[in-house]
Amino acid sequence: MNWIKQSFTRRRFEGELSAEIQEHLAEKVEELVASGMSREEATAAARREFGNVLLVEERSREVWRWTSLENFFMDLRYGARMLHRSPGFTLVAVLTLAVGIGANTTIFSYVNALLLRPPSGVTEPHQLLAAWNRLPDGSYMQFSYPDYIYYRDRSRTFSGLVAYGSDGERVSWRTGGETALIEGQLVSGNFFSVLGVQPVLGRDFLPEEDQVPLRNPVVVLNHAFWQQRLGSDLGIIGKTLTLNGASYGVVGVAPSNFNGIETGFAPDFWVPLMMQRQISPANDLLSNRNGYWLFVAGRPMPGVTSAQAQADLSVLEKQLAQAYPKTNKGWDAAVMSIVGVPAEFREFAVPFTAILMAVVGFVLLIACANIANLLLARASRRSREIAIRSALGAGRGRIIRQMLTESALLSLAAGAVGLWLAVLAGPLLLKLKPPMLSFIDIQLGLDWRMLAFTLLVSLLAGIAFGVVPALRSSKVDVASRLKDETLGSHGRSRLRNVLVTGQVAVCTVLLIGAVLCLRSLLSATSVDPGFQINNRLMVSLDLDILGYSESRGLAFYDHLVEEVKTLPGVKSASVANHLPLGFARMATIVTIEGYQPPPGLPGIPIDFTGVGPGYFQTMGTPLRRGREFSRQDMATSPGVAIINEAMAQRYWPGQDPIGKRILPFSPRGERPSLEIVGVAANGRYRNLQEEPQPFMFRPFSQLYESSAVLLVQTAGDPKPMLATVEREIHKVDSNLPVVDAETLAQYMSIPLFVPRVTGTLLGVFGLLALLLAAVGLSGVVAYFVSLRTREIGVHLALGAERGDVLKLVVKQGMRLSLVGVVIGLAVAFGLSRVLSSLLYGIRSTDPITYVSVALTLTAVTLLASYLPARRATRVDPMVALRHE
Amino acid sequence: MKNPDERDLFPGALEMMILRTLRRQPLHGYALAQHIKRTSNDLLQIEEGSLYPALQRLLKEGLVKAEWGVSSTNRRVRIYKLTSAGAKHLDREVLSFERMLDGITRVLAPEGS
Repeated sequence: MNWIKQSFTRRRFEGELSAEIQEHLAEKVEELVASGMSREEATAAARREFGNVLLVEERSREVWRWTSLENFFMDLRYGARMLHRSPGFTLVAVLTLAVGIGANTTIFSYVNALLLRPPSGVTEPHQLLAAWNRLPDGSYMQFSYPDYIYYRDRSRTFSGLVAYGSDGERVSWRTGGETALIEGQLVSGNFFSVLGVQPVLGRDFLPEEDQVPLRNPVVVLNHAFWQQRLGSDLGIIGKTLTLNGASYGVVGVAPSNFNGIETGFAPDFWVPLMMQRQISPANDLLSNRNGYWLFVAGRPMPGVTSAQAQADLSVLEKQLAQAYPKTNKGWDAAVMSIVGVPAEFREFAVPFTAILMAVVGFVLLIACANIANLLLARASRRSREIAIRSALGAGRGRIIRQMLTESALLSLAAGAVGLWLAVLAGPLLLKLKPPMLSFIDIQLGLDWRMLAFTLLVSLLAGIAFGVVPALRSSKVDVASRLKDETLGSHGRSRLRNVLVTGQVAVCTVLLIGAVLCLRSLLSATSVDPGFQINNRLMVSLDLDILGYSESRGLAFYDHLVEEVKTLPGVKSASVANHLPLGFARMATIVTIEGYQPPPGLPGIPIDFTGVGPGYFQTMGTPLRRGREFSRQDMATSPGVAIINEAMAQRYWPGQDPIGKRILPFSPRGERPSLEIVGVAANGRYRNLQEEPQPFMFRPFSQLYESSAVLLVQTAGDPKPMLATVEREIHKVDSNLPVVDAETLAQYMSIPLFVPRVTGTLLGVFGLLALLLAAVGLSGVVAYFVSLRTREIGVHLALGAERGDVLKLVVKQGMRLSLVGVVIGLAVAFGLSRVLSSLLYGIRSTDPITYVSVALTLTAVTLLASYLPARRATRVDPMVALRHE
Repeated sequence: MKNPDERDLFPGALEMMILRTLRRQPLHGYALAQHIKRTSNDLLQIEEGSLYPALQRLLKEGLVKAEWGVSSTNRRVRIYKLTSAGAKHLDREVLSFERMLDGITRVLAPEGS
């Protein structure tokens, strides 16, 4: 409390101190006069012996704590005034930095949303732990319902374990005579109470509402859904929603900040797990041990560590493995923080965002080097001011502090602008997301983490570009500076050279990365996926909603394809369970005569899909041998299959596979074998960069699933046909909502998503880096010219050609940039392995890329040094020499 | 234009001398400066001004206190007095200084003596 009193008495104290010192001096003068000195001499002597009065006062004041803060405010005021006085410099510096900081904050906003931000609206979200099955190969797997129940009832370390469906459930919602598709989530009855989420309207689920299958059709609504689709109806509680044809009683509306706890997915509503069969009628997942569809999370009891929780669940998993060796053998349990995207995606999201963070970090480094260069140039212009300040008694530390305060002012202003840029750019980046991924919900909103990150990055940047110039400029030789300010800048320009060389090097690394990613995007776009993309469209349908039986569903699809075929402008049509390269994937295990399965597996794993008659014709996939499936390949007829060339070559090398047989594995073993009736050309199935993989097609009719893709080959542009086909579908069944309708070209945005994002981002950041480095280099060359104006004047006066001068100056710039390029190439080569996982069809050490980037950079730096160099040739020798 | 602190022998030396001088009698700044100069036979070149920051530090730590009074030459001056905490502090400092000096002397002493 003492300092509060001190601060009140501050002014008096300062007055007292000055008076005391004045008295001291006066006493001394008087004594000296008394000893015979003249008053003038005595005054000078007294001052000499006392030392610097101002400095003594400042030192004395500094003893009391307020001063450091006050100095800071003084520095701040002074800094603001200095920046205000050179608006051009301030503007350039702030904008350059803001772009650098903005890029960092933008990428960070994604890292934050995907990996760091805990689910909102949940009580104590950091306590929550997610539980996973850990498979022997180290991968993670969701839970089946019976396993979840086992955990829920026996765990001794959790005060509650909740389960929620890992896929959003798409259901039809009849509202005012229309059918809309909305996304819901099946959740355990304790979901809201364990998470500590209080509905703003009504209540959450009661325990008994999640005990008996299909007994309690109740729903809790998402706040946004209630607001946007139900007009914030305050009387909604007790009303019903018709979902998949059944009436659900609305019991509650969740608070507006709660969107579930699955990062990246915001359901429209929640229903109890017990309603699973009604929400997705195709499967009964409640009794199925093989259906792994639940995310499990829980709140550990107070004092329980995550290691204890892990041990607890491991014991339970071991018991399950013993009781059900067929499904759970070798499995373990794992717990981890609930924060961030689910474990399966984290393995991808972490390295991907890490690379992007590194890239934007580099861009910021280049920007910092530019500002450091500007500051150095400015410092030499300000050296007189600094010399005066230090002559007046400002210590070195005080001057450094002043300079750093100015840097901090710059970087904080830039941080504010950068944050604004990031808030604008973040959602823009989200537009790269293919429309088919509409269910992905990334919450980019500002939060304290983004603010803190921006503040931290700004301050770090301020230190990075401010420290060296500050240290440099504070080291002034007062006497020489006050006499003449044109001398002695050699050390300083060497530092600037190092900075520019570093910039060019970093820029080289970034550009190589950018070009590699862009070329990888190009090669991914030109990859032959094994089917034709132009003049094709696809419509995703799901009969689940209508509750059709298998035979009725098959008849429906058969009828639909025949109807669509007759439409004008349609060349052919077919159906498939799913298309390759999308999110869906089916795999089976087959036995092939003469082939030993890999150790530990009962057969050979093969990816496959079901396709209807005319699929290969419609998709434009050539058949090398044999025939297509026909309408005669029915559910009841003998099993047949079409394999791709890779499968034929691997398992029947040098033979004709037609007529050979494949035995699909089945735990019950009653499946009949499949006869190979055709060989199709190779394609890409899981992703675009894979090597040709064995793949198998089976008749749609023999693999019926309620969801399917209708494929149409059109005579012309498929876009206008989308509406026609949709109309046709509604003619066949007016109740059937279309899940998605798009051209195949649009569909390809899914496999192209990653190369497109990396290509776009690295391309943008690479260009930004190039621009910044070019500006930096030309600034250095311009500075070099201004330093040597006199020397150039002498050269010219002595008869040097202007061309010689040009060469001299450009050579200076080029030497720097060439060293930078060489260093950059070496670094890029060293780092090449980092990028290789993101590249398609191009090696990360691709020599053409390296050479072309080196040439481009050389050309750009040549231009960047040529422009200021031209100014050097216009030096008038007379003026330059008179400058002396 | 040298930094006054640089004439300190070591950090705290000036403070120690001030405390020692004030133990004999309360003094105002000027008299304090003159006394230290005189007693050191002018061996220690201390800028008189450097006394003041040191006095502020001692004030702040409560080792001395100051009161306005009138000097022998009839000037309004601040007279500094040792507090009991200051006296204790001085004893400790002198002791540890003597130990240090002893150590240094032993190390610097010609070998064999």
